[in-house]
Amino acid sequence: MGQHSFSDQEITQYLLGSVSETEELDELSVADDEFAARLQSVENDLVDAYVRGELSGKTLENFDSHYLASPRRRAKVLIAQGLKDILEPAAGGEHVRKPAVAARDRWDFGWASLRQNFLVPKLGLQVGLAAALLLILVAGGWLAVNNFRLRQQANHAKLELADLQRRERELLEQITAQRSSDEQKARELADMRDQIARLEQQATDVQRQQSPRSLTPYIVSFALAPQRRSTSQIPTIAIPTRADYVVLHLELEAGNYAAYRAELKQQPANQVVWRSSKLRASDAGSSKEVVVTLRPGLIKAERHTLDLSGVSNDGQVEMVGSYLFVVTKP
Amino acid sequence: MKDSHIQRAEKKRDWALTPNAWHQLLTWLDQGTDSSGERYLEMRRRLVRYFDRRNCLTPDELADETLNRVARRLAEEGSMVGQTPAHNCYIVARFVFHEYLRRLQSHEVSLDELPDFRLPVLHPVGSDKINDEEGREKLTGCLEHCLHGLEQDNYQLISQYYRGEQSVKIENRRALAARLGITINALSIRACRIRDRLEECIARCLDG
Repeated sequence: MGQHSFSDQEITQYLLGSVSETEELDELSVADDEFAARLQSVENDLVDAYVRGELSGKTLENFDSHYLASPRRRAKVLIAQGLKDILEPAAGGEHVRKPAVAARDRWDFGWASLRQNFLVPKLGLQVGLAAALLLILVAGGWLAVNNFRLRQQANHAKLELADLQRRERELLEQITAQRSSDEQKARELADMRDQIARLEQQATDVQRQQSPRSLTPYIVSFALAPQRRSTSQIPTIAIPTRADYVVLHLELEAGNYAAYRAELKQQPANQVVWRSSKLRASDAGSSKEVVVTLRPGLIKAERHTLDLSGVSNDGQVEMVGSYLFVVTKP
Repeated sequence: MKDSHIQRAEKKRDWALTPNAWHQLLTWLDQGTDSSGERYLEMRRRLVRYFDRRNCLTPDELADETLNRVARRLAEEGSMVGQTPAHNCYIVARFVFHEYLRRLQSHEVSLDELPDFRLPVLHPVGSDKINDEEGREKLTGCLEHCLHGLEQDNYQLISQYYRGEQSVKIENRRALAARLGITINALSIRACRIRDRLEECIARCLDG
């Protein structure tokens, strides 16, 4: 067995699912009295730090995404919050919630919430949306200014073109009227025509540049079949670096549910990294499929399992398929 | 050969924990000292937390399955030599966990059979109405009931142990340990045990 050489920091990372090799820690947590007690103490302190709003950065992120994934652990957090409110009321006897906790206004302290998940803090979503909106406004502003400049250039080129065309007509009239084979005038006419051709080309180029460019996201798609006992080869999906979205087409073997839910797990730790909202089946030739769209950043270069559950009209949930695949990234 | 294999599998499924087997399990876990079942409860708690950390959907059932198998093996073989009882429990738990994973992947575990729980609302599904005020009052009531059910010494200990933030909390704990004449480690173990009992009391109160 291990020699109890794990620091509180390492134990915290273990509790937050940030340790890849957990065998030794798992063994100690059950088989070693001293370590098990220490683990419990670190976990209690971690939960208390969370309800006091003392966690930040990656630790807070992992607490929200990993630690709170379990109903049992969410109940522990609720109890810790209640314990804090009772044992440490503010002066005057009223409960005071720290800003970090109060910001998570979507916590439900109802009885059913002890068996329910917490909402991701709205603040993170709002900041993300605000950043996206700002980016769109800046990009839109730049495009508008650029468009205006190009339009100005096109107008200027058109005016120049009109002037030169008029001048051409005048010279032709002069030549016709004088019936002269003046070499200089002929040269001038040729020069004018060259310039007209260049300006016409420039006007065409400017018009082409004014066409809206579309920013097409880079999407990679893969089709997956549910894992079968006889399947020996696990499909591999290669995700390019510049991919913006990964779309997985999950083939349905049977069943016709009103909706579906998908859950992405990273192996071998069986760690849940993503869950879907309600999904609908769609036709895929002679069969049906469920389409899942993921961000490449969610998926590491590991083996993954995508568990698909069907939801009937009366809300009953049943597992319908498990899709195993290996991800590679350049 | 095939028949005897089938018979062994059926015998395992049909095995039930008898009073003798239960007593044998407790004695084996206690290793000579009578803990009045505390050792069993502590082992069960550790196993539940182990399965919960592995994100199993039914940690309580898997912990019970583990201890059932340990008890059966003790009843059939008389003893388990080699490692300590806790380590033997871990080895069985690991087997149970891998079997659970295989069952899950081969769709033998229906989500309909699992306890009711909601998925984390990263993408909210459904729109159940929850009575926040009622639930909050019930939780607070259970917390107060369980806290006041503690012995005076334990109540004082836990209310002081978890008081304060960061460095203030650490200083409080040092002073408390000095006052009680015990080490910080021993204080931490005592506080954790009290908190465990508190959490179990609250869970019973909310279920009741």
